[in-house]
Amino acid sequence: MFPHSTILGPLFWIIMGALFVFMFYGAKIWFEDLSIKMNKRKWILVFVFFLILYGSIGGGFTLIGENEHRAGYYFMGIGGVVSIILGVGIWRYLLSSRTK
Amino acid sequence: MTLLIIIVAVIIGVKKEEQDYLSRLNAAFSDFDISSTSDIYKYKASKNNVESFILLGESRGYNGNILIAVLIDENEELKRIKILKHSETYSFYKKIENKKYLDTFLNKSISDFYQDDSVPDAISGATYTSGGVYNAMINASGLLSGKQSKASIDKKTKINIGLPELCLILLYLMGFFNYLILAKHRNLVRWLSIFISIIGLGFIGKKLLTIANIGSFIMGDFPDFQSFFFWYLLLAGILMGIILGNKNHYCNWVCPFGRIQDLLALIGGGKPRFLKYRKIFIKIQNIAALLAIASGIIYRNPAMTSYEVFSGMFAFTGSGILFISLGIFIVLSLFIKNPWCNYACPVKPSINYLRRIRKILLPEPK
Amino acid sequence: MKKEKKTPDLNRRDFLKLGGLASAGISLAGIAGAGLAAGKDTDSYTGWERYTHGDGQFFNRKPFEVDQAPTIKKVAESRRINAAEQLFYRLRIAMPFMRGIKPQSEMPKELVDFYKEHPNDVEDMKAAFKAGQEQRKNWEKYKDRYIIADAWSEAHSKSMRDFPKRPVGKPEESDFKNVNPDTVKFKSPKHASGLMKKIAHSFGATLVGFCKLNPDFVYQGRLRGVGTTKFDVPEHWKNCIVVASPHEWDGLYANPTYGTSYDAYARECVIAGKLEIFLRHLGYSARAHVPGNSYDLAVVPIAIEAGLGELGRNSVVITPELGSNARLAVVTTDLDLEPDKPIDIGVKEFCEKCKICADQCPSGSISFDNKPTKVIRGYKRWYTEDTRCFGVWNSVAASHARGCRICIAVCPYSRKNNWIHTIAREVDPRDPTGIFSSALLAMQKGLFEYPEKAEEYLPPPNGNNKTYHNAPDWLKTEEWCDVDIDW
Repeated sequence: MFPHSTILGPLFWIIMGALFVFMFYGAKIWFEDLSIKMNKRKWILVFVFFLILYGSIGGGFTLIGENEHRAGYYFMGIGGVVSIILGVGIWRYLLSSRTK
Repeated sequence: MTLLIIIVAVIIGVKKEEQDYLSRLNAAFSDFDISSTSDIYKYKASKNNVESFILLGESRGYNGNILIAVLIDENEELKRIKILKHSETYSFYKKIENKKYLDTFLNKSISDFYQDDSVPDAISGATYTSGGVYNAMINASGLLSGKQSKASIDKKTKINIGLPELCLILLYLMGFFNYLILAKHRNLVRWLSIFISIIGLGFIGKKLLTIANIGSFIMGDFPDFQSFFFWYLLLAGILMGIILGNKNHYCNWVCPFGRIQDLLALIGGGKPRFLKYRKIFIKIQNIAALLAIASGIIYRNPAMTSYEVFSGMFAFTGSGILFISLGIFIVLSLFIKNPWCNYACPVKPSINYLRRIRKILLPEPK
Repeated sequence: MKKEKKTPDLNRRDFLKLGGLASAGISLAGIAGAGLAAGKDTDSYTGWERYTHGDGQFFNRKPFEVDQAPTIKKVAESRRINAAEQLFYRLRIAMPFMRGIKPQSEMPKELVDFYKEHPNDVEDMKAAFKAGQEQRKNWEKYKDRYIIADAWSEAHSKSMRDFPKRPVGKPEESDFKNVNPDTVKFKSPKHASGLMKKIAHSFGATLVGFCKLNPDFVYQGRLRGVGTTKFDVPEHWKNCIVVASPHEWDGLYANPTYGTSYDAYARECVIAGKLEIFLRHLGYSARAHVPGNSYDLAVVPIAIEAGLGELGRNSVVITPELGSNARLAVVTTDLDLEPDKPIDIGVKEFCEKCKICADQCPSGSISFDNKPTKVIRGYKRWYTEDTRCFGVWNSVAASHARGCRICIAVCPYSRKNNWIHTIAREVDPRDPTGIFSSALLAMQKGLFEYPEKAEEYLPPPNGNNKTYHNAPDWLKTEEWCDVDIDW
């Protein structure tokens, strides 16, 4: 990934891994603070949203990197809109699943 | 006031329309000397002392008639084909251009056209347009011999009732008789209608009302009842809804894009917003619709000024700007109830105009 | 303060403690493995990275091996290929007749038969010659724009002139020239194949495959080193080593004007030439059949039988690693090799629905049929109108005509190697329904940019010298030199 270095590549993914752990742990704390009780099914939904969002951005930018700019923008556009719809939907579902 | 503008537009449009085929022909066949004959659809064309004929043929495309001119040489072979006039939606017309549909007819003899029972493959994604072109060709070639062609596309004498027509009837029934449905079933019926509309009319049928249809109708362009039965059914439903109960069943029950927005509002909790500025927004929406319809009529090409985003949603066809607008409205639909319907769509103001007429003609008792 | 949950199963603290310990152990093992991989990494072999170790042939073909190649099915009696049926040989044979130097009555029977079957060929050939004349005139106009790309192509092209040494004399002598009289015995054909694969990779081949020579694919009527002659397939042409190299990718995507065939051709000549010498030094006969039309056989069907890929609609072999971007050379030898089996990775089904190459071909020589309809010399397969293709081949703006390659560049299989293409490459052949490939095809046709009309690839006045993608900076004259830009 970093053609002139053999260290930056592994370092990048180590940092990414740490960031992902941070992100999900933080999400866990956020959900607790908002009194959203999480179970396996809800986490799977969150994870699916994460995959679709990151997949769209990752795939779109890979296409741009391959010099397929139009394909990249359209891919991100479609993926992005789907992610927004999914995100809003899951968010409202999580909020509504709170028992008072 | 609106009526006045429309009438003026129609008059201007008609005046502008070049019923004089000769000037269009001269533009398309500029290297020939063209003279008319006693037949309005037949012209003589000479170049370098060689005489050929030009035949005109007209047939219905998707949005309106397509006028074609074919140049026939002394061996009765088609040497050049030009489309003189059409009102097809640009992206569909481009498919004909790019796939070189017209080239497949070149150098064929005229007699090929009324002997051949097989019809060339229509261009996928532009069936009505390519069918219209082909039928116009048939009509042009038929002029030379006076014979009728055996082959033609979709020459139906029976009314075509398929999935879209059934869905349309179902949806209108749901709309008309909604008040009879028990409260406990209302939700189910509403959900059913959403999916019937989106899948049956939207993605499968791809039939939505646009100002291209409205403009053609105002111009007096009535296609044949059998092949375009769906649209007459649609119109009947709109008129009946307005006359019987002053209701806009098309927007509220039929239109697939409206149903998509309903679905998104359900997901995102969309509510009517910006109600304070509603009056201004409605005015803008109405004026935009009127301008688009009027200019479409003036230029005799209502599809040209049609700015709906439906084709991007259901046919995945459109320009970059169309897709960006579509994306914006989809996202907005999560948070605002029916933003396209209530702020941008030109169809709603058109139908509401008819409702205003109805209110004047049949005032409700106080 | 949150109360600690007193539940019978693990509470959060214990989970973190246990998890932390397990993570420590696993990550230690992970570091060990990563270290090992880093040491062995073929990317660390500066100057001899990756493909010289065979890493270019990264697709595991084993799950997809079949006994009968799905795209070249023999349905009728087959025969060898007459030299007149191969475009460039036909050019040479037909030229004196087309120029009127020799009378028609002297036309060889194979040529007469060919024209009977392909009545349009003469017209197409004349049109191709005319295109060539135009092309030579055009070069003055486009010189400035393409001179660097042209120089790059010439460098590869001229390097192929003298190596490998082309055959002289009969194959029984020529293929054994300087052969070692002591033949090295291998433990088994499998060992021989195993070694030859590594050696071929070390010589620079991206893909390597082996098969028995099928005489159907040997030309008849013309033999290098001898000339125009009918000949039986020599006995020592037992097995074939097929090697493939890709074009440089940025140049490929900038076809037809900035790209060239010679970059891959030059690599193939070096590889096949070295294999020839290597094999003879071990005591085996060897004969290299290399591009630039120095072949005694048709390389594409041999590559398919050797399991490199399947036949595509564009009549080239479509490989998993390189797509259509696989240029071929063959070395025939009498070394006993274990043949590879042909593969079925879903190319046949994909080509039936894709048709992008047919749509983008500037000469319209690629069939739009849903399935192959023609049976050619006994095989039902895709077929390209080669003389019509030649018409465009001969027109591309360069110092001398050298082909278009659009069908290779636009093929959805011709992709570099990153994660999104790996997903496509690995999932599609394993999906029996074809839904995945249809979704990919819909994305390819919907999201990606193509010129509206294939004619745009042609030089003016028919087109505007459009290239599939923009050329890389190192092929663009205007980036580095003082030129008046009129494009």
